[in-house]
Amino acid sequence: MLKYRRIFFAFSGFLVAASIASLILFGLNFGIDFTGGSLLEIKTDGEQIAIENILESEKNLNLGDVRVQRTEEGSFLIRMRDVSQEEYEKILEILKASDAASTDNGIETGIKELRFESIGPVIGSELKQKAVWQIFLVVAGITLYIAFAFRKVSKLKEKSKISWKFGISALVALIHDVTITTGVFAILGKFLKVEIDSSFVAAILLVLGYSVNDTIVVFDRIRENLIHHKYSLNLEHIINSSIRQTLMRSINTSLTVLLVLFSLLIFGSASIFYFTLALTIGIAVGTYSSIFIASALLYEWEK
Amino acid sequence: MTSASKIRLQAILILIIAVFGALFTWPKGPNWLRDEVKLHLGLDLAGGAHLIYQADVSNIPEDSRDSAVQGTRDVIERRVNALGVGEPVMQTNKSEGHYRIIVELPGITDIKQAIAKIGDTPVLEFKEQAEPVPLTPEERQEREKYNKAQKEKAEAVLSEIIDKDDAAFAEKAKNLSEDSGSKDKGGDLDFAQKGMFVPEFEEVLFDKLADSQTYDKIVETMFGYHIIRRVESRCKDTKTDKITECADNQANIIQEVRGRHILFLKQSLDSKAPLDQWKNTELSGEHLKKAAVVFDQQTGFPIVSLQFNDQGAKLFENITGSNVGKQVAIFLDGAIISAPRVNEKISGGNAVITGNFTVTDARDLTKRLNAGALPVNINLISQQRIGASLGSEAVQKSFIAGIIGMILVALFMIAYYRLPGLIASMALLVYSLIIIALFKLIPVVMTLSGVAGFILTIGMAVDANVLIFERLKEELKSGKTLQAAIDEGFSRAWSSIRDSNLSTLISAFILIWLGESMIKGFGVTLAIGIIVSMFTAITVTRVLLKLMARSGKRGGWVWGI
Repeated sequence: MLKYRRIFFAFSGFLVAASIASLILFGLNFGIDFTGGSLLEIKTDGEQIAIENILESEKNLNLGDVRVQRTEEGSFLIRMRDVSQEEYEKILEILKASDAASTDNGIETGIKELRFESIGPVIGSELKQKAVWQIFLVVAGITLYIAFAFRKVSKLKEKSKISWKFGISALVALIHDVTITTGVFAILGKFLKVEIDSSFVAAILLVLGYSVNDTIVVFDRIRENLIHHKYSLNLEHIINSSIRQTLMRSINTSLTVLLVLFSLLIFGSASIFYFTLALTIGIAVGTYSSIFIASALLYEWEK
Repeated sequence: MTSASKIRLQAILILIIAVFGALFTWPKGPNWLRDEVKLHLGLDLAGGAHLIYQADVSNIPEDSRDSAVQGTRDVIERRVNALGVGEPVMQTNKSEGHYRIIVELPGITDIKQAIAKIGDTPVLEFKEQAEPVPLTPEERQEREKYNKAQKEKAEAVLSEIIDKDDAAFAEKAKNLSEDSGSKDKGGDLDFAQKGMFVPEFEEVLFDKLADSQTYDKIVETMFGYHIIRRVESRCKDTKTDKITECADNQANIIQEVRGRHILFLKQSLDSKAPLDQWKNTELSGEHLKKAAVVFDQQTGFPIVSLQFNDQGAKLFENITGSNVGKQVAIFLDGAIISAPRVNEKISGGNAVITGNFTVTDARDLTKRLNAGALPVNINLISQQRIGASLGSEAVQKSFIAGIIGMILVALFMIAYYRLPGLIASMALLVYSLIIIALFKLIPVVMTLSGVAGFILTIGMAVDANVLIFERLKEELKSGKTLQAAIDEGFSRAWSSIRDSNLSTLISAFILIWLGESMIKGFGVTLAIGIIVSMFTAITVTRVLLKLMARSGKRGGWVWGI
């Protein structure tokens, strides 16, 4: 495995660079969870109505920028600034009136409100803060976890700094996973208007918790083999055989999780599609990095 | 007990648990145990509204803010309960000095009405009569002339209809009366008790007239000139609020008279301002400590007693002090509900409203006053509402995705690990039955992300089996007997299983701790799933494996080598 490490480094390096580039170029498309604003989902029976024009031309409502998106199920997602209860009722009235006009029969307006969310800017910034806290706490928790998992490694070899190199390599692999997943969502945000909301943060946090373990299992095996062979074999050989010994286990545990995630992606509800996608990408990248990147990093460093 | 019979016993226990799980998982639940046990669906699945109110506590002293917000929450809870929504959730929450009240209304259909009800803050105001503005002699003359003309008009109409029947009276009232409140109803004033009307009017209606009579004189009141007709009368029991037979000597039985009138307005000669001009005082519902229904000791009528706080008591004392002999009006939501005449200065901060209340009216008013008396204004700052159709579609799709995911995992496990894989799949089934039963029984509120979390744990539950089976293979390859390899595989895989679940649990617990409600649901199902799956993947699999191992031969294709 280590023989090909330059290929993996190049591959990962490219992905991380591309992710960072798209993060800088496109930024993240934050959802109303974090920015404040409102989201209205409606279904119409009639012809598609020009919702943007209708609402933006309503000058006394002063809605500003209204973005409308058609979902796969044929409903419309309307995003705009956060509106009060009265404003919301007015908007519904206006939409119903224009729908009746466009369907022409005018007997019954087919507009059905599926959901409505309005989040004030205060709540938005609070949720954002909470998300930052969550990320911080999970990272702190996982760092502690890594320290705990490698507490015995320091006894390995008095002079070697390999013990904390295990921890740092595991963390770098995690940063790698999160960067790539976020990068994909920066691109999705730019081209498909996919939003970063609190469920994305939840997905990332779960990926952190779930993926770190694969890395630790490989490292654990490396440590075991180091002790077992009393450092008589060279490091490359030990790491290679450790990866081989844990390979099926790492792949299979991730595969079973990926199987249910694929099933959710294909058959599940559209409203959690991107949440599931974030989990899928994160866990897939996480498995790859714990097998091919984390130990290669350790080797580069220690050799 | 031999180890063989011990395993058999454990197998039976697992079977019993699985059967119980299956019974609760079954859509209807075990009817014979208790009423149908249902999965509790969260707002995003059942449809409903999630409202966040911010409480404005800027006027409240620091140390009483918590209780004021709590009190507001309680009032909202009562209002919401009155809506009849199933299982509403009300929470208060303080974040960075902001007080929030979070209201969750699952399954509600008329959210507009709910928001209106919750935000309904009755405004209680106390007003005094405006100072009259003196009229100039010319103005006075003009008004006298106008009033004379009105009186003559009234007399002309009276002579026209004095002998006519009720319908004719109503017709005239409709056309001519200047009382905007009763005009369209043909001057109908509905059944009323004594105390409702000004004394001059009341005297005629209750004492001088009999049913179906029109009074033969014009009655002058502060409002103008009235032609009065008594239509009918009845008696009512104030205790039960029901119509009864009339009885003379019972305090709780009172007479109600229904009258009609035709009014010709007059202009005041004392003041330029309109007659019902009231001036605001500083006293308002904000100063109200408590309102309660009491019964008048003499008449037995329900009255509403008000108790003011210290500041309110002082204000009330000043107002009554400077208005002796005049009326002070109590307004609720901009409408006058009572305008008692002040007889003397009132100290001590207690007052009563003696409107013409029924017991129910008085109770309603008290409730509203107590709510309105809360000094906390609430402001809807965020809302989420989800139609039920969106949710039920999501439930169905997630269910299908979950089943397919489980089948895929089972197929993979069987294809890769063969017999142990089959056993892991059985453990997975047991896991699903137990967990759904747990979700129903605890109960865990299922949100869409919570369902996703559960489905995810289906994939994670077999992780422990993968770890065990990989170890098992290694041990078998190293030449151990099947029994020994199973024991060794389980014991050596345990630390990996514990560690891998621990790291995922760290994330899950932080999501439960800090996530907003939907995300919290994800964390909860994930955490429960991980913990339960440790039991099923280890215990259930081990018992079943050992059961098989006793009859099976060591090694070979079925064990995946």
